[in-house]
Amino acid sequence: MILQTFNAWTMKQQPFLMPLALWMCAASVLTGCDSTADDDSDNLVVVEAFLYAGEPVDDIQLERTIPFGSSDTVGVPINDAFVRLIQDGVTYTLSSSGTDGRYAYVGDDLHVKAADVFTLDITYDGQHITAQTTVPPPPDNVQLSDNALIVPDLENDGFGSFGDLRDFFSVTWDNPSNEYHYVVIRSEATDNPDYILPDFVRGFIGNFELVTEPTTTNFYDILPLELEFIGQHEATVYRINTEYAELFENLEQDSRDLNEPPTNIEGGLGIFSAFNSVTIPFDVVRD
Amino acid sequence: MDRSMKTPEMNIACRLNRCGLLLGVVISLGMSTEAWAQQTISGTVTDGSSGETLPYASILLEGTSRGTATNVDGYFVMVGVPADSVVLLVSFLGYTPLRLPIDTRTLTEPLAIELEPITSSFEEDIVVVAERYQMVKAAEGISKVTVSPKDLAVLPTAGEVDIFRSLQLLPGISGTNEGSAGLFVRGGTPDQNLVLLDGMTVYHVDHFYGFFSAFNADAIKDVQVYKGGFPAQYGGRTSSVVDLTGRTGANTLGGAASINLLSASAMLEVPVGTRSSLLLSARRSYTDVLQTGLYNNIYETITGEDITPEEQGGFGPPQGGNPLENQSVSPNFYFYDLNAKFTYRPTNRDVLGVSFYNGQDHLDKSRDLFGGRGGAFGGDATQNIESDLTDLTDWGNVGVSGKWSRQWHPRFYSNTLVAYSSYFSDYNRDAFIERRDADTDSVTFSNRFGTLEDNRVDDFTFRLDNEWQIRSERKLSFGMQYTASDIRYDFTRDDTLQVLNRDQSGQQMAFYLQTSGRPLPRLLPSVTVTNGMRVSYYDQVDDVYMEPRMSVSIGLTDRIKLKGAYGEFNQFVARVVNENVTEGARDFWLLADGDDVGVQTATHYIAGLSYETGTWLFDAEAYHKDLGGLTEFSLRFRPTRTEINADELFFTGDGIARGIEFLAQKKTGAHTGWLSYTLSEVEHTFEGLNDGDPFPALQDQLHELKLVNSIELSQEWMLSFTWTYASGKPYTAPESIYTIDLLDGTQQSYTHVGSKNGQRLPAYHRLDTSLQYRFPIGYEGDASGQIALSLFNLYNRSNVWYKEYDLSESPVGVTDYNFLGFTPNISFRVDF
Repeated sequence: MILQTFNAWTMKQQPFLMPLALWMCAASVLTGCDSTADDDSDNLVVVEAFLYAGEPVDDIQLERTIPFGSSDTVGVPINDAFVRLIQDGVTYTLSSSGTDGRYAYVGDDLHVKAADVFTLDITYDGQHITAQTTVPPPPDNVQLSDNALIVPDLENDGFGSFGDLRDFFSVTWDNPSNEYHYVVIRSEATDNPDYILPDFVRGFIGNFELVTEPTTTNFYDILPLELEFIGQHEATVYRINTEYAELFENLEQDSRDLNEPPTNIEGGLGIFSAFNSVTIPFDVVRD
Repeated sequence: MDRSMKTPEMNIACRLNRCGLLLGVVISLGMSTEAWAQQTISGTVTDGSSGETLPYASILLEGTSRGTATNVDGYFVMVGVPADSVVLLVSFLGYTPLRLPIDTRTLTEPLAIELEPITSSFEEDIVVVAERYQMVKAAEGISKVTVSPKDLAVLPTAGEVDIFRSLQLLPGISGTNEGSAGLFVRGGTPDQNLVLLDGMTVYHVDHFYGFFSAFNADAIKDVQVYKGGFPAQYGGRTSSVVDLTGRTGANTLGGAASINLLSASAMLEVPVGTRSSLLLSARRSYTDVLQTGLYNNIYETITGEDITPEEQGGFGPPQGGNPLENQSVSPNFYFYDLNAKFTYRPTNRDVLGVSFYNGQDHLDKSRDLFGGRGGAFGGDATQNIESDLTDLTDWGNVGVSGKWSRQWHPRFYSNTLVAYSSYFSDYNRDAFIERRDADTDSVTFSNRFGTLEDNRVDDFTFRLDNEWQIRSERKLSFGMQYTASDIRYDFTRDDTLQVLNRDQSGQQMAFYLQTSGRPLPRLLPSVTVTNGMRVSYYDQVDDVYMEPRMSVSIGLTDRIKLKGAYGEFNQFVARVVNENVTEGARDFWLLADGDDVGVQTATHYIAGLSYETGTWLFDAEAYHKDLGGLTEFSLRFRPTRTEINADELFFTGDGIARGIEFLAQKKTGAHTGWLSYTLSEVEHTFEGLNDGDPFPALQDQLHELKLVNSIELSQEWMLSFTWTYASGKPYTAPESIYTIDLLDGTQQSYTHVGSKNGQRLPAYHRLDTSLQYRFPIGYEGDASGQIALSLFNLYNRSNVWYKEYDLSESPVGVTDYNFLGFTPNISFRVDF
């Protein structure tokens, strides 16, 4: 009787019940497997590897990306990767520093020369990362405008001679195709350094280390104020490969469309590049 | 009658008749092999209450499988009808089917068949004699759906009765795009749909950022949707066709007016003499005058901004000194659309019509700021800062078409159309800051930055379509189309950085030929085949494109039908996806140039099976589409410090779309509706994106389930609800950050963007419902009223639209922007 009554009622209410039942059925099945595919598994290797012609291979660093939401501000160094350099079919295995993610070649049979093609081959945590770069030729015709940079004697000549600190001399090179170069000025360390600026001024201005930004021009003007000591210096002009120039061009990421920085790393991020350079010594002397 | 006594109307008729005479003779000669013992019947099908012609109405010969359909002007011809007493079954979506006995031997005039609109399923005196559909007719041909706009009002909406929103409830058409009224059909994008309104191409169908379509349902009487494999008379698009026919106006004065919480609309039908009619309709939002809660909800959903923002200083918090003078600014937004159609029938064989459409949206978020002495931007108490922000968005369409339809002979009908269509989209966000010395008034700092995007499409089309009923089982369609397009696009940033500037002109010419009918009527009477070929020439790439089309329908039994279609399609204009990871996409139209933007291609393979009774339809269709010439635009890989080379910002690729759709529809009775399910996949491959690996397209959704129900509780009350479920859509997201020590000793932080569309939003689902009450108005009840309560997103599901990333925060801020939550709406309508 109850069943008959129920049946009669369901027949009468059929227009409502059928769609309701269908909906409840579909809703329960589909929303039950409502999965969000927010895949946040991102553990890419960031490579920062630079080769310098004529110098040891010791500037290779590996770390992991910092996932969004992490409180870390620097990437976790990777110290247990298997890192190799391959040049002309010969493989050179690099050693890990074990702490800061840096790798170096400890042997003396690896020489970085112009036109050498190097392949960086990294195996880490099941990932295979490769990159390739070619050592560029050295900059052409690097010259200084003078043999020495003369700076004023500020302590003896007084502050009126400060204006002479704006005098400069130039390092130049041939660059007909506007390729990127950068300049490093180094001075030899001495036990008793003779500073260009008086102590009280130097304290305000701070450190004088000089590594220039990459430039596509064919000169760099060295100002006395950019230097620190009286004495022997050297200016090194580096020729930069395309991969580094592109990275430099993309220093700014536009949040409006979030441009992806270029990378020449296959299977990872970062950069593997090589440099060649010419060094010219010069003196900084007091007037 | 004396010649001088002829009216102008008769003169036109005479001239047209003379023109047709020669053609008629030629056609008659071509038909000399026809067995003239049989009869040819022709006529028109109209709405019995208004006199409106009914396009694509079905006319069947009872007791046979033979039939035909009216053309766009409501005209039909049926050849080879037995010279005897026969019965015609005439039906049209939303109208009571008619069983019409006639004696073909005594017929001397074309038939004038009138159908009555269905007013209620509870009318017991109606005898259902043929298929009786409501709202949607999905089994007419392969991948073809017919929609009755006048019946869509029963469906729940977010604000407006909306044709395109209703189409999104069909299988194979994505129903989760609250932010776009455009249709994603079987893995295609909205720009790949050919949208025609009285023959004019409509390039952008969005009102209010896509929450509503740009078409006023009051002005449309019929919608034909081809989800794929469309016939040869349509071309220039690779996904689907939506062919809208505007109302021509009734033979008596009538109209309608309605208002809801967002807009008001009015429609007027005016007979002009005995042979002309005029239809006018207008709709406008009143959001710039009165902001309702519904408007506020939608606006805040779209922009992610409060409609009445807090007191704001414009460009960030002041950093010292006197703050900028704050202003509270409300955005100014409105949309409108206008439709007008004038129809003139100079003779019984000719129809002349002019149709006009204009729709526009306008959003102004500009604000002027004037600060006295301020410390923002490095200023101090001795500085005056002035700034203003221009933030304008306008888009819209204007179109006009003129058509001449002529029945040259009972078996030969032609349409000549001239149409102009224009679309524009202007976006201007320009911020200006100037700092002046308070004492000397000299400018110490000045800067202007922002984004300017202007896109304009002008399209002129001439087309000629002819239909020739050669024999009872064979119809020949042929015609041509010429289209000249001009497209301009300007994208400038920060006043001086021109990202992209294009000014293009292109022409295309197409010819088509198509036969349809039963190739072997005696041997295989239930097999219907349509064969066509469209040949297009496009001058920008100086190439000719052959586009074969074919569809087959095999009636295995009276109820079971096997269907198949194949077609090749080309598209010479594209709406390029402008990828923007952090702020969403802003797309723009360009002509294919064979270089940056390729000619899009698609090949459709479709197979289906349907089982249909008088009450139910069960339909399944599987499709596979090969896509080529796809284009994306991205600034993601551009250098930021050097001049932009626009060619490097375009990416071209190809893809596939495949899926299977199921539909179970209850067509008749007090309870109608359908359940549809689509399983699909859309995958793109671009050489320059995602390392060349395939990636899911933005519109890729594995599952989509829709339930639509309309329940007639009584003659006055109607209840309906729809439920949509779909898998989450893919998106591209920044995933991590990393640093690199540069050679100059600085450390630079970079953001790594994850794989293209490598992330998935949560699944989407939503339940909408509406309750409608209809009642007579006036002493004689010749007017009617209707009140509807609509509840959108009834259980207030938070469906994620997109994610926004704030890279200036650490850790990076991620904000989910959701679609509309629970939103009620009420509307009132009067028909007279």
